[in-house]
Amino acid sequence: MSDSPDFRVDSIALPVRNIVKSMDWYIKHFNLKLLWVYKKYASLTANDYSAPYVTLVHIPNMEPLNLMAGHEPCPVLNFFTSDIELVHEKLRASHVPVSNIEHHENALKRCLVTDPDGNFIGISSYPE
Amino acid sequence: MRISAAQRQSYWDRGYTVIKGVFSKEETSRMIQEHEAIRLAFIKDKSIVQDSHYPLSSLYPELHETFRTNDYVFQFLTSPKYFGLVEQLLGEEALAVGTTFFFKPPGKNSFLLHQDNYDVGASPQPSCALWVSLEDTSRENGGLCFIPYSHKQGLYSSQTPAGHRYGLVSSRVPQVEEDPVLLPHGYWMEDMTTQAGDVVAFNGFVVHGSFPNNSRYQFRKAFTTHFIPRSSESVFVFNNQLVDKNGQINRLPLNRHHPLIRDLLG
Repeated sequence: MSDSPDFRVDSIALPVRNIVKSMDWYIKHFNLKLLWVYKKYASLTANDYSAPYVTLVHIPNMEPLNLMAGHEPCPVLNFFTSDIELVHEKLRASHVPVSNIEHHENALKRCLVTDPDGNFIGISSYPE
Repeated sequence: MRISAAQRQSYWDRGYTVIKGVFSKEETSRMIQEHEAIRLAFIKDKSIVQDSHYPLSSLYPELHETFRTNDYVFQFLTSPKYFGLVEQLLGEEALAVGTTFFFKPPGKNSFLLHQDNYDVGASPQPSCALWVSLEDTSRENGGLCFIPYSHKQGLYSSQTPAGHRYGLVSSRVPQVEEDPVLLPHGYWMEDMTTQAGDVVAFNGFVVHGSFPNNSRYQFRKAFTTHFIPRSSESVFVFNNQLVDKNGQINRLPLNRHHPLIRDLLG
């Protein structure tokens, strides 16, 4: 065993009230893939099946994860896309609550959506 | 017949267990005879018709829910010897969802890796199958194979690539001995060899399949029943026709979420 063990982000958990509805929502709008479903849990991943995995957790009386840093909303989960305008247009067309696209330094663009349970989810785009 | 603590532990830990010598030669032979009679009646009334593309297997299809029309199969299903096994394993009363009789003639293909609760849709606990070996079975004549411990993560998506950490149901049952099996690290496939009268009990989440029947003349006849715990909150199939050990029909709420879950799993 190494003195400096390696780490990577394997999974993050998101609380949801209706796990089936939320699975469908994330798969539909973010093109995620379902890995497994077990009782109160469902694990999703990116289109290329790479980690980290997003684990939806059924918590009936959950409070939405909508953290604020001062007046700035702080999404608990942030997606990268190479074409934020297209994603934004599709979300609007699907009546998903989504903010306007903000333009920042270094060509960073981002917007904010809320998932079916009110969790803040970010979308970012920047040159790679 | 009492199930040992080791057998019960294997069922819960590994996802399956084998209970040897449950049924006599007389009982297994009678089950085969009854299903042969049902098959012949289906041929006579043209419910079974030979398909020139599958000349042998089309004459030996799987027979479902035969207990609903055949007295001996009904008695077999509801016998304390059979029903008692599942109740010992689950630690509570059980309800039978449905049955299947397999002829599996020579030349029949492998059965793909799958999880029974994908179809049964019992919630929150998965189904439990009792698979009765009516003849001796092995890898050669289409015996069962299991991925031990694969039931621990619930239902897997069949879209996940084989070899991926969660790609357990995307792998393939080998057609011949030399075929590679691409399973995630830490998992392996186990062959099952049984003798007539043995019962294999397995969890509805455990990933399993069966080999092709590569024998020249041996069938692989088996009878299986899917059970669910009586405490189940809902079930997807036959929710209005669940049979208890007294032969009475019971009803449970329909698992309305399950169709979408199945769609998303692929």
